[in-house]
Amino acid sequence: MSEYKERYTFGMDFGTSDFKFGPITCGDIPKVLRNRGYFPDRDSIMMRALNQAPEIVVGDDVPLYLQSSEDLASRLVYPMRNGVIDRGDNRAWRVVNEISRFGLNMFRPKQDKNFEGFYLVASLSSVSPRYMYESLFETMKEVAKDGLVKASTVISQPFAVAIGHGVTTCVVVESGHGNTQVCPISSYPIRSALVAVNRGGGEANSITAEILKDLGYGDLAREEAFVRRVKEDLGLLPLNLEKAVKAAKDSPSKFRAKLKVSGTRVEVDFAEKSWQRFLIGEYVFNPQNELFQSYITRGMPRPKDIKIGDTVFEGMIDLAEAIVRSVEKCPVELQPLLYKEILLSGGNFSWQPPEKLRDFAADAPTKMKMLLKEKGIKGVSVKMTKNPQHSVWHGCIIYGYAVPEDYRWNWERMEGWLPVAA
Amino acid sequence: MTAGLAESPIADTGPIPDMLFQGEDTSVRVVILDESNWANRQTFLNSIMKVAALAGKSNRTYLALPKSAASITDARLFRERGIGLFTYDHRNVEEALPARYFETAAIVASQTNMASNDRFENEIRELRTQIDTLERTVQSLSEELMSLRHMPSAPEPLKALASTRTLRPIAAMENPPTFFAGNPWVEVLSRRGREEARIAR
Repeated sequence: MSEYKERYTFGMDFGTSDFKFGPITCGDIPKVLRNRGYFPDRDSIMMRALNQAPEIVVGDDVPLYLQSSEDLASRLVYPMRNGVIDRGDNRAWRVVNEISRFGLNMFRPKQDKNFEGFYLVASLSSVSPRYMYESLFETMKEVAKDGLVKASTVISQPFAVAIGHGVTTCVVVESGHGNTQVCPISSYPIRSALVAVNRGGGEANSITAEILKDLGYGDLAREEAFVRRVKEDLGLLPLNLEKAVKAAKDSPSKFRAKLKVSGTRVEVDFAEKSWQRFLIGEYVFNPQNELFQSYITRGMPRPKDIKIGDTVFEGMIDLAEAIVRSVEKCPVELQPLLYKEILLSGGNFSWQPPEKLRDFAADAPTKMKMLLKEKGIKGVSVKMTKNPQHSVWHGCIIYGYAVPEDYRWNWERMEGWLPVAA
Repeated sequence: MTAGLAESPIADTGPIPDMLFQGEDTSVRVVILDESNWANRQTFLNSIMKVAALAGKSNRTYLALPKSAASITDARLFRERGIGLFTYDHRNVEEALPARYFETAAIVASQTNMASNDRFENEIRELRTQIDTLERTVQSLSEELMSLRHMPSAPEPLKALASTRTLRPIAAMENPPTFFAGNPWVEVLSRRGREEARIAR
C-alpha cells in the first residue's frame, strides 16, 4: 500500500438526496451536501445586470440563486433521484460533474507540491447500468484536468455498505427513496443474484398522502415534505397487520396520534382511523395485502414492474420474497451463511416502534425476520447497518485505502483502479 | 330489634358473640348476659370482656342485660367504648343505649382489597404480556439454535484473518478512523489482484 494512496484516498457517495464526500482524513464523518444543482436563468434581467450568474450552482450557495418557485421543477436538478441517470440526461451529468469538482476542490491540499490528484472511489446504486459507470469515469477524467484525480473507481452502494459494516459474507438490502436493492456479497458482490424492487420511501409517501386525503387533509397531502413528516412521525410498521389493525380498531385511543406543526395552525389527527398508521409501514414491506387494493382502485399509483438498463425492478414483490429470491440464486452451500447476515441500510428502514405499542409495532429487522420466518427461513440474523448515513462512504474509504494501486479496472469484475491517463 | 337485619350463622375467628345480625353493608354483634348467670361473677366478667373485645369489629356491638341488672349498670362506661345496651325481660327487649356506628375494618379492608385486586390484576396482565413476549423470544432463540445446529459449520476465514492483522498507522493521520478497527475487508481487499495472479501461476 503506497503512502501516497493512503493519504489521498477520497470517497464519494452519490445518494438520492445527499452527496457525501471527503478524503480519509475526514475521520468518521464525511462532508454532506444536497445532491443537486441549480441552473439559474441567465437571461433574466437581474442576472444580466449582475453579470455574475454561473451556468450551474451546487453546494450551500444554491438557496442564494433560487428564483421563482414555478421554475424550481425545471431548474433544480437532483441527478440521482431514482438511483439511475438516463444516458442522454446531460443536465444531470453536468450536476454530477460540478458537484464532484466542488467536493474535490474543497479538500485540495494547498501545501503539498507533490499532490498529483486523489485516488477517488465513487459509489453508485447497484442497479446502475454500464453506461452510468462509463459516464462517471468520463466525468472523473474531465475533473482530473484540474489535477484533482489520479485514479478512480466505482463500487456499488450495497458492496460499500458491506465493507463499511465490516462483514464479508452477507445480504445487503439497501432501500432508498425510489427503489430497494437486494445484493448478496461474498468477498465480491454477486451481481447475478441482484434483485431490485421498484418500491422505496416514495411509495410509503404515496400511501401516506392517500390516508391524509381520506382523513380530510387533502390540501396538506399535496405537500411532499409534509407528507414525509407525517410518514416519519406517525407511520408505524406492524408486526402483524391484521392483529395490529384489529387492536387499533378495538381501542383507537391507545393508538391515537396527532402531529402539530409548531408555529402554524396545522394539526393532523388520525383519531378513530389511527389503525391506518400501520398501513404506511406495511406498504413498504408488503403491498400485497387486500387492504391496499381500495387505495389502488381509487387512483393511488401501483408500484409497477419496470426495466432500467438490464435490470427488472418488480413493484409488488414483498421484501422477504426479494431476499429469498436473491439468496436462492447463490450456491446452496453459501445460502445459510448469507441468511446469517442480512444488513438493512437506508432511511426507508428507520421504523421505531413506540414503547407502549411494542406488542403491535416493530422495527425493520424484527419485521423482516418475521416475514422470512413465515416463508420458512429460520435462523436468520437481520441487522441495521451501524451507521446507516455514512456506511457507504466508510466502505469507499476502506476500499480506496486497501485495494492495491496496481489492481487495474476490469469491466468483467467491475472493480479496480482506472488511472485518469488510461 | 333487627331493623332489617337477618340473623346470620357465626363464623368469627376472634371472640364469639352470642348473636350476629347482618344486612347488605351492616353487621351487629350482640353478647347476651344470661339472667340465670348474671350473678355468676366469672360469667359476668367473661361477657363484659367479650363485648369490649368485639367493640369496633362490627358496625355496632351490644350487650344484652337482664332488666333487673340495668339499674345497677353504669351506662357511661359502655357509651365511652361505643357499646350499646339492650335490656330484656320475659316480655320484651329495649334499646337502652344505642351503640356507636363503627366503619369496620372488614369494610375498609374490602375496599382496600378491591383496589389491591385491581392493581394485582393489572400486574398479572402485564406479567402475562411479558411472559408471552419472553416465550416468543425463547421460542425464536430455540429455533435459531436448532437451525444453527443443523447448519454446516462453515468457517469464516476472512473474519478470522482480520482479527490477526494489526492496522498500521495511516499516513497523515494519528489514529485511523474507527470503522477501520477490526474490519476484515482491509485484509480481503488488499489481496485483490494477488489471488488471481497466484491462481494463474
